[in-house]
Amino acid sequence: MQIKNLSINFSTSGQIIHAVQDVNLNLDHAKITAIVGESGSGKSVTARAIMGLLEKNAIITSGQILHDDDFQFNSDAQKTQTVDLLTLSNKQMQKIRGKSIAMVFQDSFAYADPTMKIGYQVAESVRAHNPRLPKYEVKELVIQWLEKVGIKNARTRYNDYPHQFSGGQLQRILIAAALINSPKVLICDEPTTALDVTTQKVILELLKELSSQTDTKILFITHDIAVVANIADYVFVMQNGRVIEESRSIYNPKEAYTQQLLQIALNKQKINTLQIQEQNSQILTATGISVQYGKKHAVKNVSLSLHENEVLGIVGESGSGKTTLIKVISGILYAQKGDVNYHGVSVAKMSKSQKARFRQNVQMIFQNPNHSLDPRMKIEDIILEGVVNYNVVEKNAQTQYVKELLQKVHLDEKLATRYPHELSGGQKQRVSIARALATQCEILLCDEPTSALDVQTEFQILNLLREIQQETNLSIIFITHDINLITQYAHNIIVMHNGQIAGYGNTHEIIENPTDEYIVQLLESVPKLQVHQ
Amino acid sequence: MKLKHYLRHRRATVFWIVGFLLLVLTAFIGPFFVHGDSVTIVVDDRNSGPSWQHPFGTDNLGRDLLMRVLLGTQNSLIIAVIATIIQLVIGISYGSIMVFFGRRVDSFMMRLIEIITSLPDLLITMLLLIWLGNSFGAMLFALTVTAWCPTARQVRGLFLKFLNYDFVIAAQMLGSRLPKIIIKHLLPNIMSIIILDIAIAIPGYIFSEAGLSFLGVGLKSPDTSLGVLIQIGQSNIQIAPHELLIPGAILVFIVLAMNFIADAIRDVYDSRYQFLSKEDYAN
Repeated sequence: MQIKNLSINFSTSGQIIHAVQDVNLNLDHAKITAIVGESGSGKSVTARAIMGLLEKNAIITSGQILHDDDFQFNSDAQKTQTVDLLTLSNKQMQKIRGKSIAMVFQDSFAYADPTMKIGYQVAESVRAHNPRLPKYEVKELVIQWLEKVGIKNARTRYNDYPHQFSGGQLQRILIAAALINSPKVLICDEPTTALDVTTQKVILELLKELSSQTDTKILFITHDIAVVANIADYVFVMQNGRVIEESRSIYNPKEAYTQQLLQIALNKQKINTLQIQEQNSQILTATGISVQYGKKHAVKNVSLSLHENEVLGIVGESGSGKTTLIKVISGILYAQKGDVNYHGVSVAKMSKSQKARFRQNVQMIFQNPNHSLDPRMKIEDIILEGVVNYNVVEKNAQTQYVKELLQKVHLDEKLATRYPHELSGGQKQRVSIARALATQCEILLCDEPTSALDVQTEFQILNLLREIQQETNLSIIFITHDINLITQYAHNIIVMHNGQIAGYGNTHEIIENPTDEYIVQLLESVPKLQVHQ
Repeated sequence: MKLKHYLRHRRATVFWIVGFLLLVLTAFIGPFFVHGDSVTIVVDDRNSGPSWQHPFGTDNLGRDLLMRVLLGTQNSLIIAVIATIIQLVIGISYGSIMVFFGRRVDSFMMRLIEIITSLPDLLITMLLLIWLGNSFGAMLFALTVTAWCPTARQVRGLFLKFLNYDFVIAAQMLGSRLPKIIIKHLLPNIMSIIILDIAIAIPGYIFSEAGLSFLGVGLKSPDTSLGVLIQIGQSNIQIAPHELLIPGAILVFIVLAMNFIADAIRDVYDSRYQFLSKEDYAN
C-alpha cells in the first residue's frame, strides 16, 4: 500500500483546517510500520482516510491511496491489481473494509456492541465477506481465532457479552475480528492507549507474533515513541499534518522535533537519587486508610507520610485505588477506617477554623483540564475564587496578584480576561496550577495532571511543577499510571495494586531493587528505549 | 460570534425572529394609534367586514376587531411571559433548595413533585379556573400550579450532575460553600438550558390560555385574548370568517416563530457542546 501526496482539509464553522498536508507513506518497507505524532498531527485522519471513514466535513483536496489486492468488482477472474481507494464508491469500499484492510481502534468498549454476544460480533466480519460459508464453519473459525489471540475457554466464552471481558481481552477479541479475514493491511489506531502498561505489553507481543505468522502488514499509530521503538520496523513521524521524517529506526533522528521527542522519552527513563532533607518535618500522615464500596475494597489499609518540600509519587494502574486515596487525603471523601493527620491534628476531629486552614493549604490539580475550570468564568475570576474565600490578599491588590501568578506559571497576563475554552489544554492546566498556588497552599495534590496532554506539554508542566516546588516550600503528591513519569521527580514513591501498597520507599531503591513481584512485572512491562549513544 | 455565524446561514430563522419582534411591538404600541374601541358595543354595526373605519371589521357586538386583536395578542403574550417567569422562579428555587439540603428534605420535596405530577394537570387547571373565576390572577395561578414541577426536577438533575464535575470539587477545595457554588458555578452553567426552556414554555402557555379561553373557562369578555377572540370567531364562522381567521393566524404565527427561535437557541447553545473545546472537535 502506498499513500501519495494526500491532503485533507476540514471545514468547521467557516474555518478551514489543514489536517493532512501532502503526506506520502509507503507500507512496503517493513511488516510493521508506525506513525508517531501528537494529537492534531493528522495521524488518525490519515488512517480514517485509508478506511474511507472520514467525517462529512472532510475534503480530500489531493492525493492517491494505492492498494494492491485481488479485487472482484467486475466479473473478471480474480487477479491482483492496484486501485486508488479514493476513487472507489462506498459500495466498493465496503468490500475492501474488513476484508482487505481492517482496523483496530483505541477504545475497545466503544467499538463492541454491548447487547451482542462476542462470538457473533467476530462472526459478523466473516459473514459479511463470505455469506455462503456454513454456520458451523464460521463458528469454528471464530473459536479458532479467539484461541489464537489468547482467549481461554473460547468455546464457552463465545456466548459472553462485551462487559464480561476486561479491556485487554476485548482488545484482543477485536484484533481477532480484524484479522479473521486475513487482511492485507491492519491499521491499529492507538490500540493500547486506553490499557494498562502490563496489558499493553501483552497486546504488543500478540501483534508482533501474529504479524510474523501471517503476511498481514500492520500500520501502527501511536503517540508513544517508546512503543514505536519496541514494535515497529519502519517509522514515520508526523507533525502538524505533515510527515517530517521517515526511517528504519527511531534512534537516529534528523529533525529537531523528533530529537526532542526522543530526548524527553529518554529523560523519562532516568531515575533520580533525591533524598528528603532530614530537618524537613512531616506535615501530613495517613494511617490505616480503608475505603469500601459495598463489599469491594477500593483502598485497603494504606499508610503514608508526607514531608515538607517532598514530592511523593503514587503509581498504579486503573482500579488500583489511587484516586480514591487522594480523595480521602484531600478531605472530599471520608474513609471508613483510618485517620488523616495534618500537622499532628486529625482531620476528622478538626475545629471549624482548623478545617478552613486545612482546606486552604491542601489544593488539587485535576486530570481533565476541560472539566476542572468553570467554562462560564474568566481566568482571573477562576484564579481569584480561593483568594476571595480565604482572604489571601486585599481587594485592591488582587489584579496585581493574578498577574504575578500568571507570570509564575509562564502564562501571558492578557489571558486573565479570557474564558477557558479559548485556551489550550496545557494553558488550562497552568491556570489550574495558578489557582491552587493562589491560596498559598502547602500541599498540592496532582491527580494525573498530564495524562490528557501531549508529550511536550506534559514535559513542560512537569518542569513547571518542579520549578515551583523548589522555589516555594510546596509538598506534592503526584498520582500517575505511568511510572516513568515520576521517577525523575519524586523523592519517594508508592506503588499501589488492588487497593493495597505493593511498595513504598525511596524512588531509587524501589526501581533498582524491587522486592514485590507486581513491581517487577510493572517495570518489565513499561516500554523502554535502549540507551546507547 | 457563533450566533452571528449561525444566523448568516439561516435566513428563515432571521425572518421569524424579526417578524415576531414586529408583532410584539405592534401589539404593545398599536393600540395608541388605532381609533377603534374594544369595549363599546355598536348594535347596528355587527359582524361587518373590513372597511376604512374598521380595517379588520367588527365582531359580533360591533366592537372594532383590530383593537381587540391588538389587545388580545398583548394579553396572551403578557400571560405567557409572566407564567413562564413564575414557572422558572419557583422551579429553580425549588430545585436549588432540594440540592442544597439534600437527603431527607430532598427526598420529601421529590415525593411532593411526584404527587403533583401524578395528577391530571389540565383537569386541575380547569377546576381551579371554575372555582376561582375568570380573572387574570386566577389564570396565572391555574396555568403555573403544576408547570414548575418539570423545571424543578430538571434543575435538580443538572445541579447534581454538575456537582460531580472537577471544577465544582475544585471550588469546594478553594473554600466556596454550597450556596455560593450554586449561584456562581451551577446557575450560570445551566443558563443555556433555561433559555431554551423559556423559548419552549412561552408558546406552550399561549396555547394553553387559548385552549382554556376557547373552552370558556379562560378570560371572559370584555377582557380579551387570542383564545377569547377565537372562541367568539368560531361561533360566527359562517357569516364572518375573518373573526376566526385573523386571531387564528396570529396564534399560529407566534407559535411557529417561537419554535424557530427555540431551535436556533438549541443549535447555538446546545448543552452537549459546552464542555467541548477546539481540541475535542479535532479528535
